[in-house]
Amino acid sequence: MIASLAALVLLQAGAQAPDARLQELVDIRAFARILGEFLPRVRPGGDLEHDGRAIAHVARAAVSSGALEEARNLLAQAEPKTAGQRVAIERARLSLADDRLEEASRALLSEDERGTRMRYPEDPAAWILFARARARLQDYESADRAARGFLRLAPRAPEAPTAWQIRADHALRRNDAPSARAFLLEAEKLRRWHELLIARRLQRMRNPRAELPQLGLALLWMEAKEYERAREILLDLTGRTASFCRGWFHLGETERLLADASAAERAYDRSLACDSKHPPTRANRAALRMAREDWKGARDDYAALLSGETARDVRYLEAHLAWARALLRSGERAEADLRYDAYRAMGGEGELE
Amino acid sequence: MPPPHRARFPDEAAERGLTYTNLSGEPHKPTLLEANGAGCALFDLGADGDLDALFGQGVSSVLALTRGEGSRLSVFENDGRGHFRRLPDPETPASGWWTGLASGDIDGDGRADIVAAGFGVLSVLLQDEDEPKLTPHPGGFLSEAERFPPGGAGSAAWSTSMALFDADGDGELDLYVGRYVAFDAFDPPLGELAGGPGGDDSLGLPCMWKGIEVFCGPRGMAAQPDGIFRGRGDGSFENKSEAWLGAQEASYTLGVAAFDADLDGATDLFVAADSEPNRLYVNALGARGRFEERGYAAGVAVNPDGLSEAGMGIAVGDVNRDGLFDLAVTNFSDEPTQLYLGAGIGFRCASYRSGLAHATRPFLSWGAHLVDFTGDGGLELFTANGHVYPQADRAGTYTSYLQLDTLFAFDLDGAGRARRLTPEGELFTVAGGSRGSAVGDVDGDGAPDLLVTRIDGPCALAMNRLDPRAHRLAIRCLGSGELGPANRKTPADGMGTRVLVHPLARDGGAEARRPWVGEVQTSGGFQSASSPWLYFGLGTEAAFEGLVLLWPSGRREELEGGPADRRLWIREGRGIVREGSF
Repeated sequence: MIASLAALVLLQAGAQAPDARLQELVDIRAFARILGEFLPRVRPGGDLEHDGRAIAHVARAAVSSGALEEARNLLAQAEPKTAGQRVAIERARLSLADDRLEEASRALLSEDERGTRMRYPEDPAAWILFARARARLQDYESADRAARGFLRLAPRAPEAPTAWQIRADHALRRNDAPSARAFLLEAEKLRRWHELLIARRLQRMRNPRAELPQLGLALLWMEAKEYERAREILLDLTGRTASFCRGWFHLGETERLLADASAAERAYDRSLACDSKHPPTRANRAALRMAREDWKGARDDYAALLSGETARDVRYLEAHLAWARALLRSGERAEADLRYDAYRAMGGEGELE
Repeated sequence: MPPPHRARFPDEAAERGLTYTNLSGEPHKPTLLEANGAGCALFDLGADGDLDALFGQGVSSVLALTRGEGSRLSVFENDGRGHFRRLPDPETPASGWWTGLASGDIDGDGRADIVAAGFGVLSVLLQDEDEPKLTPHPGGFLSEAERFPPGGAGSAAWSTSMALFDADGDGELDLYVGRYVAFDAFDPPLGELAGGPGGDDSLGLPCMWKGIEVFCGPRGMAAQPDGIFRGRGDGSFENKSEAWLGAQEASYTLGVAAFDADLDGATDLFVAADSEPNRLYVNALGARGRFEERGYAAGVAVNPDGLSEAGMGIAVGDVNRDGLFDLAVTNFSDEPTQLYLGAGIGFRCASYRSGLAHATRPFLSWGAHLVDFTGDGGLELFTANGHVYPQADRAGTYTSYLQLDTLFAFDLDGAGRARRLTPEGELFTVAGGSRGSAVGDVDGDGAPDLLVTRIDGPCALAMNRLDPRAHRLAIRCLGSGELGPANRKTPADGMGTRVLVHPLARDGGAEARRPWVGEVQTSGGFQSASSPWLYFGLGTEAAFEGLVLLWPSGRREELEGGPADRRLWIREGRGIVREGSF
């Protein structure tokens, strides 16, 4: 009871549970901070000295920071009963950093009567470490297989660009230039995405209440098609800053992509209440209104959208057709015909009915 | 029994009169401009046959630079026995912050010339007489916008490493200029890089390294595009950047090395970029009128994990004696010095399986050279080391600001393991902030010595006493300037000539009978220029079987072997025209 209260007090004081804090720091690759905050805690006598997961995280941070001796000591101290899979994998990582490539490879494989298999097949870290070791040994076949295994499990993990690079190297070795090119593009795309993700997370940590970093994070998750994550961020953002118009628009987008049309429309309502002239919001709300046969509502939205300069913006060409259809279904035939004629004059080819 | 030999590589700069001390801004390095230091060059000033020394130089602070302070180059004349005296500074059109140096016979008159560049400065310096003097070519090189100060504010062209080499085979040297980052000296980023449109504060990020505030850049700052210029043979150059390089994405270039990567007789370029992919420009001027970038396809753009590294300095040499040139590229701390072995098509990374990666991770390395320093017939890798951040001395960084320089040998068995050598000598026993470096035999004993600039401190001249018993050969190639079978000409200073020395190798297997290969180039390293001499170690062999010279003109010459321990001047089409003993 007292220990729980203490933990609660700590939490209420803003201290996170170690796992969450470690993960937060791993997410922004703040390995130096991990060492600063957690190295004393995982060493003998520390409160986390028996926590295998914490030891593994800190060992990994130590390897990434060039503190190989620290990593070595930590992993040596980890007791078998608490060690577990994570520590074993970090031992392989240390071997990799020491250029003991065969040793790293062997640590990640198991052999029995059925043959040789990955020892930890469900852990993406094992696959990518094995792939890296084999690539460094120029065993590109094995490296490529392991890279594929990793990508099946964790296609968007921070090491995914490495997996695609390994695949590209293998493709080059077998003279498959088109595949190599495609894999390199994938690697580059993911690498930039992860760089931006870290940057946005750091910006958010510095300015937790600022809108732009939050929005940037949400957009990154939308790019990755992780709409639930994007929505969570945008709900928080718009909840705190109702006047941030773009937040409402992107929330609407997220809801739309999550197929929650009514939530999307509510978010678009708020966006337009904030900024009545935002064309994408207007266009998207109009489309939702058409979908639920609110012809008059859609008609009004298209009328507002296609006034002024937007009327000649080719990006909204098909909106002219949709407007004409909304008018038609609202019973305004003559106006519908006029709008349709204008649409055709602009180069549109769709049919009114 | 003779006593065992002590391998020594002592720093004798001070006692030999090399009194150069580098100035590179403020000691706490508030900006990127102050961190990279200057280059050096070993070249023959006065055409007297020995190697003289030239240094770039910075300014006391960026603020002082903006107030009009500037430095000049420092030149020291060799008396022929490796003792130096300072000469008057070359009269460059502007004083400034000088970083990179390139050397070669630009006007084909048999005398080495210099291109010196830096932050908003670039000067072509010719030797016109047999007096030890460099005279600036009157033609301007940089545009108004590229000079410093460019109208009082904004960012000037920041040049780093350069290469003088013959790109188009016309016998005249052309110039590749590496460029770094757009740096506003009047308003440098301090502590934080502004982000977002309109400089929204919420998108700014502090400039941090391992949780410590450090100077900003280069990431987050705009990169500047490199340039390539065709030499006209009179000291003037024509900008061919667009025509020869095409639409290139600007990158943070720090290292440039010219060499024939694909052994087709045309000189290619390897460009090392800081935090961006390296580039291998394959020379296709003859076939398609341009250089073609093949870094990724050649396996040298990024490390095997797909990550770009810091890419500072470059060394070229045939480490495994298979006749193909290999590359060593120096990088940041927590990144290895990469070793890429030539593989016929492209390169194979050997850094990890050789153990070089693990051994070099703690170091931040700059100048790099693959040279047979020991004379045992195998190339060693020298790297000049020192961190960019003074904050590296803080607890928890697992590195340090001042570092030892390093020397690695490679065992030529199948594993090709790297082995760190620890000769006696201050470079390897006393930590310093090494940056640019140049290789050349300054005292005429046949063993290549090392000139090293050290940030904010005196230079080092490491005299090669690693093994006086080793037999050696030094070769100087001189082009004829005549059109050859490949419809090309060899430059007057032999730039681009490939030389194979065939050993006697009466004992030993096939490996021992493989020729040693070298190519005449002065580029490579970091912001520096080495001697155009080729230095070969023959180990215990007191003679060699023969020489093969592959001239850029396409001419192939085979010369008979002879005793080692000589210096040979070989002129295209005429064989050995002069020789001397060590």
